Amino acid sequence: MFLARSGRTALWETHWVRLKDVLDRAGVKAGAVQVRFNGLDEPVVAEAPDFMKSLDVDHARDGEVMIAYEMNGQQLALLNGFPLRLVVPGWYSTYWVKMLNDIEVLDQPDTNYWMKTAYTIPDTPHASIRPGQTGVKFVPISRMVPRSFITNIKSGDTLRAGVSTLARGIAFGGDAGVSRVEFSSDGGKSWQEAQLGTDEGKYSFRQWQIHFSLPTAGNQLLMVRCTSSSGEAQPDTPNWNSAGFMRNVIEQTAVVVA
Amino acid sequence: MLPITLAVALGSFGTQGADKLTLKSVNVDLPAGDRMFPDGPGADVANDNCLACHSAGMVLNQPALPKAMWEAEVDKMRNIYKAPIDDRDVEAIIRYLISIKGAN
Repeated sequence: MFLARSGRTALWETHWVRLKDVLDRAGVKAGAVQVRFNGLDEPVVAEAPDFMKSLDVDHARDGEVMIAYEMNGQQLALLNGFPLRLVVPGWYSTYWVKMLNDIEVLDQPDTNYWMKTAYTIPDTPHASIRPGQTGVKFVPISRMVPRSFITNIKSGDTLRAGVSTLARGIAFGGDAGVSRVEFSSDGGKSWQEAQLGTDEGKYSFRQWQIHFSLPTAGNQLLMVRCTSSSGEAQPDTPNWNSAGFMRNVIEQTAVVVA
Repeated sequence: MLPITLAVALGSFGTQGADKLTLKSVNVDLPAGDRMFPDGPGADVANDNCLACHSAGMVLNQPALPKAMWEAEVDKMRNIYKAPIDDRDVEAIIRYLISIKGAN
């Protein structure tokens, strides 16, 4: 039986087994609802809740969720989850359980603290509510949202007026690929499409770059906006929830043009 | 012990065409994290109680919060994460948190 797989993103090369294959080998009975993952880590105080996370059984068996055991030709570092780490593409890393040593199939939804109380988001569009809003239903956080960053220009940098300047950075689509990255050098009044780097797969970072010039001296805001391949774009106003989950408002880099 | 068990388990899946995986246990020295809370009334109580489980930075990197939210945080540490904080220390900790990171 051939279960081991390997692949690469723009950032790393990984070896893994598919969670689906492990579950199929073990045999999942009818009536399975969720699959719960526990690692070797323990709470500091013994009576505190042990960190465990669960996925719906269909998600766990979608063929994408994997158990990684090697990165860039080496076993995982302790801080990356040695010896085994769950990888849940497109979902927030709270699910990427490190030091994985226990997989349990549940016949009802997991109500452990780390699923029912911690890492929950408002069940509203973009998990957004008003501060102090009551009567909100909370659900476990799940898929990631698109984000993008300028990586070669910092807030406070001085740029020369009328000179062609390179902006570059990275973007990721969240639970989908990157279809478009747009750049604004006038605080969001106008946008130009940036050139995208190699597409390494839907869950990979994608590099972008663009040349621009700022015509006049003064203060200016540079902005970058990613649109995912599922058509979701970063918003120009922030979403809000008390934990700051899923925040992906368009980032601003304030520069001085001289 | 555990890494050996896991190596056997992975080997039994077979890694045809790929190098056999051998996991090795390693010793890792984690950084000490000796940062203390800034001086002030109650700093010693915060140092004595909070740093048993988490760094000072975890608190100092939070935004300024109103009293009710600091009370809720301390309550969570005691009742969810079972921090063994004496009743008589709770008020001093909350007062200290408000003094360094309070908001209206």
